[in-house]
Amino acid sequence: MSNIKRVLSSLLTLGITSEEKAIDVEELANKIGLNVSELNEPLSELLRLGHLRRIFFKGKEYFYLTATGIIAACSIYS
Amino acid sequence: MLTWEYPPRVIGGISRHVYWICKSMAKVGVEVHVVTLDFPNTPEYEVDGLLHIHRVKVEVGSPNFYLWVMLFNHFFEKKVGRLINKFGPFDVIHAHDWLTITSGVALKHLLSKPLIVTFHSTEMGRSGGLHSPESHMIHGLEWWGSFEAAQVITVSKYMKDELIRLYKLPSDKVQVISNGIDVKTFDVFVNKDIVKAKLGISPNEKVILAIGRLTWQKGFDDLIKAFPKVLAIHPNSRLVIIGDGYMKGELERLAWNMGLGNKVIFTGFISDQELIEILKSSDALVISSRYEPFGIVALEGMASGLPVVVTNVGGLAEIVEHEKDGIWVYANNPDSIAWGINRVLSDQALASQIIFNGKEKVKKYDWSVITQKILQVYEISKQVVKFE
Repeated sequence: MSNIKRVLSSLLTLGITSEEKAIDVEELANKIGLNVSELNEPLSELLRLGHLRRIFFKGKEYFYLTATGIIAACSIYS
Repeated sequence: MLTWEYPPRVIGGISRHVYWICKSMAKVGVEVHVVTLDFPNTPEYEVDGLLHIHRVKVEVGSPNFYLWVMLFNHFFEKKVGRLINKFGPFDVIHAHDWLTITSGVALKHLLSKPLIVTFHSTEMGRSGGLHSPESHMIHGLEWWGSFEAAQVITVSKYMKDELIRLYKLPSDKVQVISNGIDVKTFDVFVNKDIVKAKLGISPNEKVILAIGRLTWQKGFDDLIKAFPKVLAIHPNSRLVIIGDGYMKGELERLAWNMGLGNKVIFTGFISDQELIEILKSSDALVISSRYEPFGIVALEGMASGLPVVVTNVGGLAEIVEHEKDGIWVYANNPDSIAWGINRVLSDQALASQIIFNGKEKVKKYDWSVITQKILQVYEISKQVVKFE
């Protein structure tokens, strides 16, 4: 599975689908089992596609899956 | 009614199928409770007459998709348990695809009520075989659901044959009830020039439209590869692709790398109203699927007055009659897809005939007719169900 699919799928199944549940990149890397550096490209691509949203809190970036991101994640399996 | 997708959570055809049959059932006096997954900015509970929608949150995160499916089924069971206390017992349980089979089977035995399973596709078809342990598990769940069901519904003769072959089902257990369409929804006036302008398309350009999940199954890569051969004959054409999916970025790059960046437009996910406006402003609809159990989009194209060009796979080959109400092309074959598009763009007389016949054909796919057939299956299920 490509890293883009892994990020989409993991955010869906971990329930990271709202601002309150947004996750920082270190925690995401830890949960998916990838290095932070391996996440840069898929996160940028998913932000560009509108599947992810980024928020800033206390100087740190947090990410969560958008509505179209949920659909894209589910499309992997249907 | 157990389903993982219900509007506005629209991943594939299940969402619209369940929406329309539930709406039609409620209209004829049947109380329907849909249990589905939550979605951003959507209420947890909605009621419209006899139609109740219950959206369930998956309260626990899981490390992979398959465990997540088992978890959301657990939360479906919990929700149904609470609904029984409030609304009284249900008469039948209706599950859609493998994703809700575990809760469907559990509820069948807990409530001693018949289970009906509608198969919109199979794992074997979606994945082109069973190539992973996960695929084998899904295949097993599909078999289990078809075994436990009092009656199985599927959307085309092609799918019925597939289910009988894969799961060794008796023929009389599997009912073919097609998807449908609400023809009236498409009977609206649209100012094509305004719709095209919103997409950055000029009035004199032809619009070739494709709709669906951006996944391998839908063959959008073949359609993009076919497009230069369409442009060679019809240079004033644009390809509009509506939908979203995990392949969006990959397909965008394919178009750009082929020098088609300004000829192919990806709209992403859009509203139903926008979808109808674009359908009615297009010149042809193309379905390039590699696997298609039914192909509801073909009916939407016909209802919108478009000539449809479809790969002759699965249910599409049942809906569309070649050269009568559409054009068949070969799947996995960009040259053939380009030939089909050029055929309807170049031969106006043929296109007009196809459009006329297509509009006549969709009349028999009305949701109210389809819903009556499903209600008949419920009655049969009550008679044949057995509990051990």
